Amino acid sequence: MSDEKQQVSRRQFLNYTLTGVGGFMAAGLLISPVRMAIDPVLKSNDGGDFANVGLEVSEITSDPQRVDWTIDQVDGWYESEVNRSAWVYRNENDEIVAFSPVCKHLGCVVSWEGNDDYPEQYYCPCHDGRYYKNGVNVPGTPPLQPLDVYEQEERDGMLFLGNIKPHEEA
Amino acid sequence: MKWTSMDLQKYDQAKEYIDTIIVPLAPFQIGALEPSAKNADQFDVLTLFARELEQELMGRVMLAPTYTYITTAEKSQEAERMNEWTSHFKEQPFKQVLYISFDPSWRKVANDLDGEFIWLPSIPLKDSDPAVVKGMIREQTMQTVELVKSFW
Repeated sequence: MSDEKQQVSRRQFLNYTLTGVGGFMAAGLLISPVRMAIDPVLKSNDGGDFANVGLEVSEITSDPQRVDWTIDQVDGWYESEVNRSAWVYRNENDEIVAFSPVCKHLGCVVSWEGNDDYPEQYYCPCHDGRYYKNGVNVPGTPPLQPLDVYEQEERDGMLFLGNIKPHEEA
Repeated sequence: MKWTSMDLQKYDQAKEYIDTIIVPLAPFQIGALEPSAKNADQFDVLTLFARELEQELMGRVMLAPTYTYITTAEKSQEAERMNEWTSHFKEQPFKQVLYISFDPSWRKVANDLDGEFIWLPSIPLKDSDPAVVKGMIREQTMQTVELVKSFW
């Protein structure tokens, strides 16, 4: 019986070894393409694009207020600090809304009640473009689209703003 | 709008809306360390400031490349050359040509200029805490925006 003890023959030994080594090589080759294929899933997205704008959520009222902050922008090899700003307020449904201040006409910076003749409106000094409080452009003024909106979220009572996306209404 | 190929394309399509050109004026010299370094700092601040100003008013303003001159240059000669710039801009047509500078010596020839001269009080970089300097530039930008608006 002891002679029959599973003897590993030279052939079997080589087979096992080669399969093992081959397996490792295949795995090694596959790892990077697989990693690349599912890369977007693995990328941690929380916080990456959102920036703390230094405003407590509790300080946000129904009056739009301007916030300024900077983000690091990498443009090819060139890394720079970019200024961002937004007009933040609470709308009638008690939701926080942050508008991009960039006029949809030619890109000047609009301000809330920037002209005494037009209270309760955003005003663009360049070509008298105007927007209502909800960001929608006043018909008859140069801009043809409503102000863009920032993605926003609340963390530990602070307001975080992210990417700019088009206004949903209109 | 800035003087870049991308912005020039936008300008070409919206010429009737962009009627103001802003030209920063910056003195420079390479000589004695202290005044040269001061000029260099002021050049940096002026560049930053001009960019901020352009960003606020980009839809109606073109930012020209900075006009540089040697500190000892005869201002009346420079004024002649700047008037050539001004008439070149007016062909476009730009209605308003605004020169901005920290250099107060332009005041004397300001009347000979075809464009408007805006003097800005210089921003000291000595206590150069970047946040402080940034805040000062921001404040001066907003004030200058108001001034530019008064020309419209």
